[in-house]
Amino acid sequence: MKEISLYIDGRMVKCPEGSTILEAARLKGIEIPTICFHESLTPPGLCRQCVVEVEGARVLLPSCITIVREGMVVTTDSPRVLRARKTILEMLSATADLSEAPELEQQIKAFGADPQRFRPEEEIKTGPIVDNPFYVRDYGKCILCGKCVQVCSEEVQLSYALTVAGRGFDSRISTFYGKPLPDTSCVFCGNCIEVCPTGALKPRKEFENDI
Amino acid sequence: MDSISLKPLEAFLESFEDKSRTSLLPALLKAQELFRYIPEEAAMLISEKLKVPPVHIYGVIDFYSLLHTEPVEQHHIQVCVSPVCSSRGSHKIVEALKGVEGDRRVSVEAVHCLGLCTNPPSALVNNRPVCRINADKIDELIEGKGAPPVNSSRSSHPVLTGRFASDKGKSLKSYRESGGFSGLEKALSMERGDVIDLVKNSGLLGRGGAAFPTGLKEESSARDGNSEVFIICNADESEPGTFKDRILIQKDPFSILEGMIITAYAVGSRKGYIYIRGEYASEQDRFSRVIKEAEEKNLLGEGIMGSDLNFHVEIRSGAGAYICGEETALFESIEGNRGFPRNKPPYPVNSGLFGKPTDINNVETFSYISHILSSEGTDSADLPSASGTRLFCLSGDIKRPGLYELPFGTPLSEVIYQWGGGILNEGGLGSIILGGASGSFVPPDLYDIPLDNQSLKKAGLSMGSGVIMVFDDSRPFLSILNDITSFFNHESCGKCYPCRMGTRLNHEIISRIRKEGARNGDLEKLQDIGMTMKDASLCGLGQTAATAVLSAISLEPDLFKAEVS
Ligand SMILES: Cc1cc2nc3c(=O)[nH]c(=O)nc-3n(C[C@H](O)[C@H](O)[C@H](O)COP(=O)(O)O)c2cc1C
Ligand code: SF4
Ligand code: SF4
Ligand code: FES
Ligand code: FES
Repeated sequence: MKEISLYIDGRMVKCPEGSTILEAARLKGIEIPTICFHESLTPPGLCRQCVVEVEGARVLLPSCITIVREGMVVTTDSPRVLRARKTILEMLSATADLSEAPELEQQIKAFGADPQRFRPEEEIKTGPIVDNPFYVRDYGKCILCGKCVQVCSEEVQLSYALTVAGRGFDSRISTFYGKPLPDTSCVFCGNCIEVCPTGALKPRKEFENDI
Repeated sequence: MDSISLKPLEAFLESFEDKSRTSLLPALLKAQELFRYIPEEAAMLISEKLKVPPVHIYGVIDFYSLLHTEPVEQHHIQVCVSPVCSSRGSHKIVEALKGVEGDRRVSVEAVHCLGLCTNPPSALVNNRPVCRINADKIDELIEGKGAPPVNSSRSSHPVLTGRFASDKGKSLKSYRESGGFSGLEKALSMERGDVIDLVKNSGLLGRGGAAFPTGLKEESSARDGNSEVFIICNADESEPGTFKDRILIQKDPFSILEGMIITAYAVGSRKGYIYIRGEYASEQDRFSRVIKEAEEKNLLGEGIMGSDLNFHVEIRSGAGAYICGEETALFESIEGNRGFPRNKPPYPVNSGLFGKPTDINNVETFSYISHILSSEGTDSADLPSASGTRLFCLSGDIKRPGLYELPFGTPLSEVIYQWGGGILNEGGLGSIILGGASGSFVPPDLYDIPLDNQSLKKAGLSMGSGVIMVFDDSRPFLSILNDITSFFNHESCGKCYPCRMGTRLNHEIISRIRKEGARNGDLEKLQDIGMTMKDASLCGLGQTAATAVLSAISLEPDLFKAEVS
């Protein structure tokens, strides 16, 4: 396979043709934060936390899905990049309970984000949904990464019990007409619990130990 | 739920040639029309017939504003609350309608621009446009009475609007008598590559917003005629302040179709779609009659005009989602999905609709193509300027709002004062927004700027879809921004983080500042959110959703700073 040379943060990196910027960076131990990326799923490229500055590009590009080109000049820590990452984390903190998302809490520290900055004056609390013997769904912790829907649909289980519903800020994960899980095509395979990064989905046992 | 009959829906589903996911949106729109919402049973039936998982159908229903999971009342009024209508009191009208009790009760919805901006405020009463509505005449409004939409236009160099005055675009007969389809005839006599070159050399830039060279797109989507290529005409027109495509469909629809057929020949396509926004019911009717007539006269179908060109066009209706005007979201919508934009690359010319090469253009762009072909060979001095003319949608506090076809490079002030007659009621000029809700406030020292792409780009401005909204000096910046941020809050698809959260927070902050004044840190918050959306959002919606706010900050920073006591 052809080899591509590019520059990341001033360092020359060689990687196989067809690699993403994220893969190329990791070869050199250059850290780029990610949220929606998962090794074994198709990257949806939606959190935009992995954006980097590429010379000649009008906007920042998501490194998890941008394929390297010969001679590309990439910066992973420019002021534009850092501003975007910090702001994304601050907005996320205002809209979801991240207390059980250690990786995100660690990013918040690393980028000096202020989790209180965009918090609404009155917090809207949504309680956990307990509608079956196996799982608890607490969408107050959901960051809409979409992984649960991915594994429930084409990519793994083909159960088609979950979807993103709504639009814009009011998007949410839902079942068919919001029905309780046992009334849907859910087979309780546990794949969604496995991939959920924030504790929004967890086994009922774990939930009961928590309270 | 008691006794709904699924029979008519079932019959409708049987009529689909393609019983797969691509028929989902038409099926749901039909169910909505039949039942005034989509009952679970209907969703299950559609799932079974089209082989689409039920949960997917729920996700799609819940995405589109015109589809509902709860019944909407028989009598349904949608009132525009975009900046132009809003500044003429449409919010009050919404309140007044909500207050109506008893058997005159109606279901009321505040919606965004309906493409009826020249006669504000505007509404749809049971899907029929009604203009110049008034909070004092609620009873008339409920009955659907009001002024009709205005479809007039004026021009110094009528090309696109050349058939408007004498209504030559009215029928296929009058269209042909006025030179219609001579462009197609010409194209069919040329080599396909030469047609593409002609469009390329014309310098035509797309009129849907991004101003991409049309010929270049044709060239890269062209295939040998043996593999699938799609042509799509984008008539989702929903950018606040835009109404040109609606009027073009009403007044010269055959020119749009002719442009599509010419392009089909050039790129080797056998199938085209025109995606018309769901709120444009009468435009959908108009265009379906146009397609039918063209089919009858062998201008569509097999062996068009005796050549070996085969080309069919299908109408698709939107279902209430501005984002579906974004090309890749539009593909998703035709494919029967939520209107989520795709990451690019791949680009549509390589992998668009159903993963096939796709050439998608705006309504005005296709119409212009027909004129390029039909005027080919005539003296180029007849053309008003190298890059020709374009349609401007002028609205707001202006004496003569309307559609103006003017040469590129016409100064902004000339459009407003000479053509538009200046500010309404002898008021002072307050602000100008160029490019719609995703555009910016124009700095006062640029009011004479020539409206061509280069000059605007240099100044950091963009014409987008040709929108010029003018406000007199009684309209506060913050009210206009409140309407704009409310629009994006409503229309963000929610797929990517910067825009999903940024559009909401932006709107919350702006509406709070409008009510209570700014607090310490507001300006920095708006800048961080705005720049993050612009730099990191997945698609053009998020990338431009903060443009108006950021431009207002640079013009009037004090509005966004806490008062120092
Ligand atoms: C949020 C959004 C909405 C859009 N809406 C429309 C639209 O309603 N009509 C349109 O022609 N283009 C629209 N566009 C631009 C299209 O993505 C695409 O660029 C255009 O249809 C290409 O046609 P053109 O080259 O003729 O301009 C929109 C883009 C974005 C990002
Ligand atoms: S429930 Fe978990 S996996 Fe699913 S979208 Fe929310 S955070 Fe992601
Ligand atoms: S920028 Fe906005 S509209 Fe575009 S994909 Fe992201 S959330 Fe959706
Ligand atoms: S990790 Fe989410 S966009 Fe790259
Ligand atoms: S119809 Fe109200 S602003 Fe366009």
